Amino acid sequence: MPYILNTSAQIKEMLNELGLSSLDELYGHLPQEVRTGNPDIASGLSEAEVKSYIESLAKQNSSIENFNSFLGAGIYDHYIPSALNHILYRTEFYTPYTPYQPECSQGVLQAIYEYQTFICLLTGMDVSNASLYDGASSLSEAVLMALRITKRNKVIVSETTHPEYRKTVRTYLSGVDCSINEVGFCPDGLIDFDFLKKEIDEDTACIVVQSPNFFGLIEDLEEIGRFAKAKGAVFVLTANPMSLSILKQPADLGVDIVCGDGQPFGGGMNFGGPTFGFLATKEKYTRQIPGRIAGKTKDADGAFAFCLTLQTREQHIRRQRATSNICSNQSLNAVGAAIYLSLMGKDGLQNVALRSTAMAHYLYSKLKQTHKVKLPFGERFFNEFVWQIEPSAGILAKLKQNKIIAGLALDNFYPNLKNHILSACTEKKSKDDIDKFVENLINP
Amino acid sequence: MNREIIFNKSVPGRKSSFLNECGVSFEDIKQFIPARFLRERLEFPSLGELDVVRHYINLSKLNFSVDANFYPLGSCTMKYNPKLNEDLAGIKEFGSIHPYQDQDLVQGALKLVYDLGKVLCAVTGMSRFSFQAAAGAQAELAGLLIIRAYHNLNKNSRSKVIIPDSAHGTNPATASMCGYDVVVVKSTPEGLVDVDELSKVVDDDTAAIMLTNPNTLGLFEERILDISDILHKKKAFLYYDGANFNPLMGVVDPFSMGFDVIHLNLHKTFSTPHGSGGPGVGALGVIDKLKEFLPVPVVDKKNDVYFFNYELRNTIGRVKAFYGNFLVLVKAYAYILRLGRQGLKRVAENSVLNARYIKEKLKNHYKAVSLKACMHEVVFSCEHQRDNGVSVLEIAKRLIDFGIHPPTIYFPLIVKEALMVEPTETESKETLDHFISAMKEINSEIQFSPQKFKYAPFTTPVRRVDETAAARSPDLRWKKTGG
Ligand SMILES: Cc1ncc(COP(=O)(O)O)c(C=O)c1O
Repeated sequence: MPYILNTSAQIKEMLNELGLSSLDELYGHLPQEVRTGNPDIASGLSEAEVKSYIESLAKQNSSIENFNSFLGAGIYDHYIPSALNHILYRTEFYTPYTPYQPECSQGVLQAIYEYQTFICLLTGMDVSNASLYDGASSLSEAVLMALRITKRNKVIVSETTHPEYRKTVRTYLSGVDCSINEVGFCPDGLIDFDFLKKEIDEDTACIVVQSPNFFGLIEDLEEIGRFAKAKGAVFVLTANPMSLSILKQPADLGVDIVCGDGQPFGGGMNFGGPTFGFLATKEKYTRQIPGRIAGKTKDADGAFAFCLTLQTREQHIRRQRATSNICSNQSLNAVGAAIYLSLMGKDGLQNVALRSTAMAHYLYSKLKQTHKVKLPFGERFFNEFVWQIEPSAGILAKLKQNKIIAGLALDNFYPNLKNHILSACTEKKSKDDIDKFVENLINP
Repeated sequence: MNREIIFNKSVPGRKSSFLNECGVSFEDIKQFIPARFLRERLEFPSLGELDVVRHYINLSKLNFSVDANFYPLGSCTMKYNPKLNEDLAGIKEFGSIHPYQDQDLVQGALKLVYDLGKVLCAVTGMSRFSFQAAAGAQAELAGLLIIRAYHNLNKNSRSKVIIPDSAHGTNPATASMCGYDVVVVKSTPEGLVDVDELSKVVDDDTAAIMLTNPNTLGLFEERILDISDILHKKKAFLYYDGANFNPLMGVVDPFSMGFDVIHLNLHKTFSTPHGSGGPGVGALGVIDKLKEFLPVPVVDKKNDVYFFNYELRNTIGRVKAFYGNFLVLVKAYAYILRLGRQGLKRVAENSVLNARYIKEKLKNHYKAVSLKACMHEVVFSCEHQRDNGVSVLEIAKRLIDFGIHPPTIYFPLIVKEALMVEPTETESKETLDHFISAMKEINSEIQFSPQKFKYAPFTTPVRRVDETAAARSPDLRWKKTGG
C-alpha cells in the first residue's frame, strides 16, 4: 500500500500484541449501523498514472504566460526570484506544523519574527501578527477588532473596496449585531466625502477603505483619517502591500489597522490561493489582534530565542472569548514574503513598484491617445486603472483571440459600470507588450 | 552558525537585482502620483542573494519537520506528505493561472475541483462540498453560519450551540463569532459525551452540536446515533469537526453517524503539508437540504463544461476572496487518486493500529486516560510523573533530545498533564518502538535523575525558551536601536 511502511508481518505482529487477528477487529467496538463506509471510488493508481492524469488536467488550463495579460484586481503577476522557492521548499519549512515547541522550531519562529518586522516597517505600525488566511478574511478580522475596540456597532465600508472582500466582511459579520453601510464614490472614482460625512457618527465603529482602491486610485487617507478621529472611529485600511513600498506609510495617515493580501510579495497567482493575509496595528491594540504572533525572548542560558506569544488572546486558551477562531494560518506564504522582501531589499522592491506604476501610466497614456476609449476616473493611480469601451464584451473576446487578456470587466461587480475594464501592469510588462495591446485595440 | 536577525546583516550598498535597471525614479513617478502621497524612507535590509539564501537555509536547519523527525503531534495528523503531490501542485498550468481568467481557460482546474468534491461526497455521504475555507476553523465558521441561516430562514432562530468539554478551542470560538451562546456538556469518566446530560441541555433553542468523532481523547463516540437522535428530534443540527477523520476514512462515513454539516482538514487527513502552520483547506460538506446555503461560487458542470455557479439560493456569501487554497486541492486530489478506495481504508486502519500499539506498550508506564480502545490517537495523563516532580512540559522537552517532536500537551483541557500522541499510519513499527523506548527511558530518568528535566532539552540550538518573559514584555519586531 502506498505511504504505509509496515509490512504484513509487522502488522500481524502488532495485532498479536493487541490480541487481535485482523485489522477489521480494530473497529469491533463501533456500532454496526455506522460501519457503512465503502465509498464508491476508483481503485488506487500508480505514481506514474496519477502524474500523467493530473498533468492531463493541467493541460486543459491555459497558463497566463501564454497571454499578454493585464489582469490584476487583487492578484498580480510579479516576478518571483528563483531563490525564493528554493528556500521555501526546504522541507524544514514545508512539513512542520505551527511552532508550538520553540526549542525545535527556532528557524520558522525567527522567520515569522522577521516577517512581522517587515510588515511593521512597511506600514509604520507597531505590531503585526504572523498571518491570516487572505486579504478578504484579514479585512473581516480587522472589522471585528474595531467592533471590540470601540464597542460600537456601525461599520462603514467604501464601495471601492474589493467587492469580494466586502462580501466576505458581510458574511463574517452575519452573526454579529451590527450594521454595515457602504459609502459610494464620486465621478472621479474616489470616495464620496460628502456621503462619508453624512454617514459617520458617534455610533461608528470603523471606516473601512481600500487604497489604492479597487479602481487602482489612491485615496486621500489623511483626510479620511481626520474624519475617523473626530468621531472616535477606528480607521481600517486594506492595501496592496506592494503599493506601500512607495506610498506614505499608513501609520502616518491616521490609519489604526492596516491589512491586505500578501500575494504580491513573492506569491504565485495560484488561481487565487494560497496567498496570505497580513494585519498590523498600533501597540495599544495588541491584545485585540487575531491569530498567532511570534516574540523574541531569552532561553535558559540567556541567549536570544523566539516563541509564540500573547497566546491568551487565542482560541486554544480563551475559547469562546478568543479574539478569533483562527488556528492554522498561512504561515508558509508569510515566510515566503519575508524571503522575498529580503531578496528584493528596499531598492529592488521600490523598483518593482515604480516600474509597475510607470507601465500602468504608459498604458493609460497610450489608450488616451487612441481616442477610442474613455478614461472615466482620475489619474492618481498606482498599478491599475479603469477604462471604457463599447461594446466591451466583443472587443475583449477579439483581443483574447489574439492572446491578449485586456483586464477584468467590471459590470459583474458594479452593474452601473457597463463596458468598464480594470487593467493592471506589473514590472513584467514591457513597452512592447503595451504597444501590441493598444495596436490590437485600434486595429482589431 | 550566525543566527543574527536578517535586519542586522544588512550591508549598505549591497543588493541583488532581479530586474534590469528600470530607469524609473521617484522623480518620474511624481508626474503621476503627487509627492505628498509618496513615502520618504523604507528601512529594509540590503543583502545579496547568497546572504539571503544562507540566512534562511541555516534557519531551516533549526526546525524539526515531518521529513526528518517523528512528529506525533496529537490532533494535527502529521503524516508524511508525498513528494509527488508537490510536483503536481508545482505545474505551471496550476500556479500561473489568474482567478479572473475566463473559465474556458481553466477547465482543467475546475474539473479537478469538481471531481474532488464528488470523491469527498462518496467518502463522507455528504451531498456537496465547498473548498473556499482555508482551514478547519474557517470551515467551522462557514458551516455554523449555514446552520444559522437555515434556522433563520425557517423563522426559527436559536441561540445555543452545544460543545463537549473535550472540544478543540476553535469550536467554541467559532460558535461565539457566529453570535451563539456556548453550552458545554461534560464528558463521562470514560471520556465520552455524557448523553444523559446532553439530553437535558438540548432544547428548542439549540441550533447545533459541534462534535469531533473520534473525540479529542481518541475515543469513538459509541452513542453517536443516540446523540444524533436527541439533536434531530429538536430540529437541531450535528456539525462534524472532521479534524479526526483519518481513522474513519472508508470505514465509517459521517452521514451515517447523523452529521449534517462537516469539514475535513485536507492538511491533515489528505496529506497536504502543514507549511509551519498553513496553508491548509477546510473542505466543507453538507447534506442535501443545506446545499443551497454553501458559500459561492461552487463549481458546476453543464454539457461537459465546468463553470463557477454563483446562484445558490440561500448562500451565506463568502469567507474568502476567490475560490480557496487551490494548490492544496491539487495535492489532496493526487493523494486520493493514488490511494483509491482500498488505500484510504488501509490508511484508516493503520492509523488506529499504530496508536493502539503505542497505548498497549506504554499503558503500564503512563496512565492512559481511558480504558476504552483508542482510535488514531492515544491520550496519556502524566499525573504520576508530575507527582514525582516532572511535568508533561518537561517530558515533552526531553523528548526533543531523542529526535522526536513532542506530542500535543495540555490538550484536551479536561485531562491533567495531558500527552496526546497521534503517530499516523505513515510511521513504521521501528519508529514507534523508538518512541516507546524513549518514553520508557524518560520514565526511568524521572525516577533516577529528575533534576535533568529542569534543563532539557540539551541538543537544541536554544534551551528552554522563556515564554513567560516573552508574554510579560512583548518584543514582537526588530527595531533599529537595540536590535
Ligand atoms: C479537533 C480540531 N478541531 C479543529 C482544528 C482547527 O483546524 P485548523 O487549524 O485547520 O483551523 C484542529 C486543529 O488543530 C483540531 O485538532
